Amino acid sequence: MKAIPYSDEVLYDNLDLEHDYEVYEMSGGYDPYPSHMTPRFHSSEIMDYGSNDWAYDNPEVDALLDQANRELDFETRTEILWEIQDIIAEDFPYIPLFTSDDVHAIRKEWTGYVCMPGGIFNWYNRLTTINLQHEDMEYGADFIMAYPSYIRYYNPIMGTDGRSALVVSMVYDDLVAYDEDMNLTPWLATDWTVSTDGLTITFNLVEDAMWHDDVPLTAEDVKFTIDFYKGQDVPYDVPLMSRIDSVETDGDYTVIVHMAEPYAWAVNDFEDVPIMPKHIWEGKDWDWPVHPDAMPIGSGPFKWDSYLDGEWIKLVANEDFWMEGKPHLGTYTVRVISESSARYLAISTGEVHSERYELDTGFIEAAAADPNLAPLEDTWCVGMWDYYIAFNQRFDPALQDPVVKKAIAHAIDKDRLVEIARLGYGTVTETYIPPQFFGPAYENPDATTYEYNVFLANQMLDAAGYLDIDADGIREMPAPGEEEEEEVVAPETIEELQEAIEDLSTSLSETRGQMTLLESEVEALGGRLNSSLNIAYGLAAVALIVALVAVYYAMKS
Amino acid sequence: MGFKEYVGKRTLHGVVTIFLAVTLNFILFRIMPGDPTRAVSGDPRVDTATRLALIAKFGLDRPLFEQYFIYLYNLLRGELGISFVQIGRPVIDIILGRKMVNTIILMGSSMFIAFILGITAGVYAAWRRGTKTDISFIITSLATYSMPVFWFGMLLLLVFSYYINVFPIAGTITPGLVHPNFIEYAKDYLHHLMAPMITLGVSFFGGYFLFMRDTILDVFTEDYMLTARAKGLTNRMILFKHAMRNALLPMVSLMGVHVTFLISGATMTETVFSWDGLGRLIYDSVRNNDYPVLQGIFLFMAVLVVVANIVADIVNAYLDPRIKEAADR
Repeated sequence: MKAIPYSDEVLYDNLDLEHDYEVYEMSGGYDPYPSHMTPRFHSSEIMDYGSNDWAYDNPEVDALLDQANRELDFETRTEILWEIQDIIAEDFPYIPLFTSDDVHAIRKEWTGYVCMPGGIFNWYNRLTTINLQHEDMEYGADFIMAYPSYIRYYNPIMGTDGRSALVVSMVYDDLVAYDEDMNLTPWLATDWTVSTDGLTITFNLVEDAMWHDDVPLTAEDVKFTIDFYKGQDVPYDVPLMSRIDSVETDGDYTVIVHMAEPYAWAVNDFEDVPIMPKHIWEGKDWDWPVHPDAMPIGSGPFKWDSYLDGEWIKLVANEDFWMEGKPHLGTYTVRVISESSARYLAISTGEVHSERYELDTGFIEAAAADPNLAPLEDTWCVGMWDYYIAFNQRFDPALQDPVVKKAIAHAIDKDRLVEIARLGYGTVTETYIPPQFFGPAYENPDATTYEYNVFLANQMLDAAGYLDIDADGIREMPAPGEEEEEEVVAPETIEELQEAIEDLSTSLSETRGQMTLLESEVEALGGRLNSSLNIAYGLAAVALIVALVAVYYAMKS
Repeated sequence: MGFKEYVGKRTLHGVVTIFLAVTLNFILFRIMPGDPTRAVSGDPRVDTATRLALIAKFGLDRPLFEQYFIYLYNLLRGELGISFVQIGRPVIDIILGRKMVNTIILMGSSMFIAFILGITAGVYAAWRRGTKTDISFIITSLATYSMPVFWFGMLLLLVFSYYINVFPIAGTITPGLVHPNFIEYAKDYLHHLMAPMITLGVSFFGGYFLFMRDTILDVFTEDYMLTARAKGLTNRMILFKHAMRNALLPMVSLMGVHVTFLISGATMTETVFSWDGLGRLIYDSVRNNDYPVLQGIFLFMAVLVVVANIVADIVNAYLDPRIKEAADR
């Protein structure tokens, strides 16, 4: 096996359309609840651009996933999910490796931020937004955050990329939010009830919420938002919206959602639906750019104040925010600093106070030694990007054989990977719904896991008949139809002893081979960080040169 | 062939060239790996259904030929399309806005400074050929010429924005500041402009200097220089009246070629200093496969090159009868 670092673009093209890779290593990305299970493992997602890009197809898992998505009781649902994980850990379309954790450089004079899985400055981390404050100023401090590039959208529906989503989450409210242990908490909805058949969800809203243009926020706006989502030609939040039948209001502060079928994650999904003002959005389309027609008007803790497209956005505290005493900050400025070292320098001088994303591994050492920054232990949260090694289940018989994949799993030292690739700032994941991210409730004490044991890996391959017949350091496929029966016999003659020694040395070289594979994987990981950047630069240069040469020759003729 | 026919022929050539550039731009960005809808769905929350709908919306599921003819048709109507990445925003608004002004100011000022300094130093070094002054100028200019511009930019950033905090670290204007009047705004803008301008000026200087020095040395071997000397003119008169004037002609042609830089910008420098210009827009758009924006920028660049060249040719033909004669033959 050979590890080749590809740029993201090339790799994605293969995953989306070509589907002819054999093994790849990449990160997927989690939502605050295990929404990734259905797209990654349901056979309905085996298609061009589908999320099940390893083509994992198991009718039993499909049925269980459908069942879990309809199961309203958390305990029962979690047990179904455990069962699914056990089956998948046996079939093994991918091996979970680790999450790349968020460790932030934050000036030490700032307090009140909340570390939750996914990071301090993640879009669903609304607690940081409302609680962040200066140590000497409970209210009114000016916080400046560096972004690597400008937000893509002013439009809250499309603002799903991490950069836009954080700004959207500060300006707009959702019905529900998450706390630091990933439990659902009230937000615009003070409480909610789900009927026993799961077909009716009733939300009660806070009564003193106002839009930033001083219009009261009512149940009509919530109904409008859901109807708006359902009425567009490009669908967003499909799993939720496609299952909603209709919405009605009961008075100004109660919304009743009628579901077409029970959906286990309905309330969770509402965390991702920014409530939009009906009086502004009525008659608009999903791709209304908002800018430059109007400043985004929301109901959230911060109001849009001013901006310079491409450079900065200044948000000011919403003094009429419905939550008592929040937010603490006076202004929240987002500032674009393209280059990662320039961002770090800006944090060091105090020109900005933190940045949106985690520290580049290159600056971790310097940041740990900087007395002006908060200790890194305090800003270290489990990351939302989960890295894995995936096996294409389409054609290679070796990769369809669970034994091979299990042996590979046993041969991977995940701790060492985290140490090398993330300088230790990563969390090893053993299951498909790791409790370190999704919360201890998802911890299955009996989950199938694969410890690091190269010897065992080799034994498993030997037993399954993957032998290195021609002694070139690479194991061959077992002959078809041949059942391997290993019999361990103590060597009696000199020849047998020699044979046993040879076997052992082959096995050792195999181990070395596995180690080299591991190292090359780590290199590939590091290379990936740079290669996409380099390739983009290279392509731009080539494009420019080709265009200029073509123009030149055309002129000459 | 008369002058009018010559102009007509050059214009026709230009139109054909632009058409070729348009076609090349279209193909080039589409054979590049990557998928524009990835930029949208890079976020795990975006569902496959959303992505498929976007692909259909952008027309990316149609045959390439069909896409090409739709593009040409829209182009003829003066429609450059809508950005894939900032959905809903017309390409023309993105390109012909503040970003273009920022780039023209940055590139224009740094090229102007490098041009003036390069010419002066080039004439002087050529005059003092072989002396220590000449050699130190050559070494300096070779060093700055071959130095990676982003590296020099990072050094400037480290020294002037970190150790001695005199220049701002990023942007074109202080974020969130409301300027009382235009003078204050201009002062703030210039303050932000300094570091990237110095970086680019230094990187351009070497090229102009070496070019000017070589041209002057060529001119020195001409007979009219001997004549000038024989007439007993002062050194200053010989240098600036006779040598420099003649050496400036190829220099001006060179500047003509460099006009494209005004628009294409300097991706590296703009990125290091977070200067919000077209160079950085090209970089971001390549990364996100934003075909319409890329096609728009490169179309502008092609048009600019072609027009600049036609104008230069026509002016030259008008001024220099030899070219007209050559065209007649």
